[in-house]
Amino acid sequence: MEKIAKIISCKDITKVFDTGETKTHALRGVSCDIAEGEFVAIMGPSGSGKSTLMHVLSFLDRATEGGYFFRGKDTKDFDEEKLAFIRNQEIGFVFQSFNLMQRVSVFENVELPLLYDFYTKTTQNKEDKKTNKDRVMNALKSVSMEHRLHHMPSQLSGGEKQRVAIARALINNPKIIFADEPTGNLDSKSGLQVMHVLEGLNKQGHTIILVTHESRTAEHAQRILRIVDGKIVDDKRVHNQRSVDTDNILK
Amino acid sequence: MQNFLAAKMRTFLTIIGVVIGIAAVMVVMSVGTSAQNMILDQIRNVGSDLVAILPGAADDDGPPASTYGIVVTTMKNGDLEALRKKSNVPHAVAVSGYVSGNNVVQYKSYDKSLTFQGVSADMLDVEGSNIAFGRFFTSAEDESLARVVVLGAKIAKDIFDNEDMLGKKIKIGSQSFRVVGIMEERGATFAANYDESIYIPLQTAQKNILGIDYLNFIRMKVDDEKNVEQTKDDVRTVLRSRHDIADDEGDDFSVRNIASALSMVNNVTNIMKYFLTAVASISLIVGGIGVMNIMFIALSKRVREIGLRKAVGARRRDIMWQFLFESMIIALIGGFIGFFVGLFVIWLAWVAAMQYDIEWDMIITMQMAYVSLIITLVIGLLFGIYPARKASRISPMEALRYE
Ligand SMILES: Nc1ncnc2c1ncn2[C@@H]1O[C@H](COP(=O)(O)OP(=O)(O)OP(=O)(O)O)[C@@H](O)[C@H]1O
Ligand SMILES: [Mg+2]
Repeated sequence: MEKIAKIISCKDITKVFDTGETKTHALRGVSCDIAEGEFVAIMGPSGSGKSTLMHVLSFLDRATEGGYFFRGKDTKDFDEEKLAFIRNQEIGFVFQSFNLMQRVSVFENVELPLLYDFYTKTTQNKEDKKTNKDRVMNALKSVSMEHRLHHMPSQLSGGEKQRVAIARALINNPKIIFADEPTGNLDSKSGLQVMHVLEGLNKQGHTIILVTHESRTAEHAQRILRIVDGKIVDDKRVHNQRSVDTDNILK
Repeated sequence: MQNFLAAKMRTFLTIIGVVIGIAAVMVVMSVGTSAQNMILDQIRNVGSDLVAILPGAADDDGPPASTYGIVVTTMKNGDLEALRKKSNVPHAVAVSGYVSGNNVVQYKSYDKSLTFQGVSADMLDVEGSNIAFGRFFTSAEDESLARVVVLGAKIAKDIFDNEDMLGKKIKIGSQSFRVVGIMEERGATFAANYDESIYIPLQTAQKNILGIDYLNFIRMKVDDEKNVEQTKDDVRTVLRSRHDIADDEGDDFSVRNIASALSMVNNVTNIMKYFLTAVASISLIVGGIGVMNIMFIALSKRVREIGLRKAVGARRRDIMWQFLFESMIIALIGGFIGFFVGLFVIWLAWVAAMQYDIEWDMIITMQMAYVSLIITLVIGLLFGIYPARKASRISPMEALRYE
């Protein structure tokens, strides 16, 4: 196997939630490497720590102990500014419950990360609005949602909401996309459409880390990590990687 | 924007403190100044060369008890005579005693209970008033308890309408008085409405109607403003010797001039200003707490949204400014409403002054708008900062788990 840059590398990560009386050991020493461009599925029973691991890896939360190296750099010294930068530029997160803002349109939902993009030169000039619009349109096109630009989230189906959420996650063209049970709230057809989008993104070179309960969904990935009780118990390659039959889902 | 428009009713109720506070600030700035201007104007109108002698001792700043309507009977006509003597008070050019009472005034179908004043013939010179028709009564008429009356311009019109009034007799109580003169129109001050005055000779009032031997107060015109202090000393000397008073501790009278009246009035208006400023401050604090409360409600409703914003790259200060911006907008809405409420109250004060014929300038300056704006923004910032800080410190993971 050729040497590919490790985008994520963690050693003995633990996470303890201390709520006063009780201490929950959500992660009990997780070590893993993920290479750039990989499509990894994480599976495991409910409460096993999948979401916790995703949050730590995506900088939404910090590990209690252990080393986390992101693109070769120790994340221990990352300050608030650096974390904001990574969340904005390097990472996209797709949630099981979509997390769209109900009061604003699809356009504004997808545009949200651009409001916090203080790093790309194009957003600093006068053409802001126009380039933002182009970028939002492109993101929506890549999830086939451009026709719903001015809809409100409440007017969309679950599958459509999730595709809008994916558009939001990829608007800043992040290296890694984290998806925590993105198909969990969807029927199988909508779920397949979402998986199709993620496959496409992976083919374009995005690293995808996906949490799922369903083995059929996990088999779209190249590699499956199994996690039980806060520990990785299995790490294997998928031999017959599944791929969405596009004729089927797009009718 | 929709976040707080949705809750606008509750928002309005909670920011009412800001509304009242800003309105009070406006009123302090405008009505306080107007009132002071008016009082200064009127004092100037009465004259800065007047000295007033009131019965009863005075506190340092406050007026003597007699001004509150408590009857002090220590000042007699003999005091008035003594003060009139050139050898006693050389700079006095005119001196008048004053008493007043209420009685029914009748003429044909006119029948009303009115206030009349008993004054010396010198009153005209003391107060600088003028006669429009006829004449004022004389010292001889005062001495002889003549039943003559001089009427203010407005009251004369009320009683006689357009009739020729000189020489006519009106009844004050059970006695008839002959009208000998009508005063020129002069307008009202906070202390007196000249045009509604009814003047009769001092001693006639004391002996024939009121049955008293004392004076309510004495006013004296001094030949020159620069002799006012000297004259006050002279008056004290005369009255102390007449009343057998050894030192100023035992004074049973007080001597004032415009300057002392002015500082007294200033004290009163300043107290009003302090009171309104306190009301404004308390309201603004209450309003600020209201703003803070609204922001905490907004915060609890938007925990997930904040988590999301952070998850897509919002920094602490971005969330902080988002909240501060909103708290300032909310405060501004209150300040805006308060500004207009304040203008309305200022206008009402002017209308009320007009009703009473009081000269009153309505003072509205750009400074009021600036001050209101700045106070409002400071309130929004000050009371928004705590919720904003809290919002900015929410952990994205915790926020996104929040139900
Ligand atoms: N913020 C928190 N405070 C306290 N305990 C927590 C917190 N987040 C997670 N936990 C606990 O940590 C453990 C792991 O939770 P996690 O959400 O990672 O599980 P999961 O594998 O994602 O489960 P599911 O498949 O149901 O989503 C659980 O016992 C959970 O109750
Ligand atoms: Mg989970």
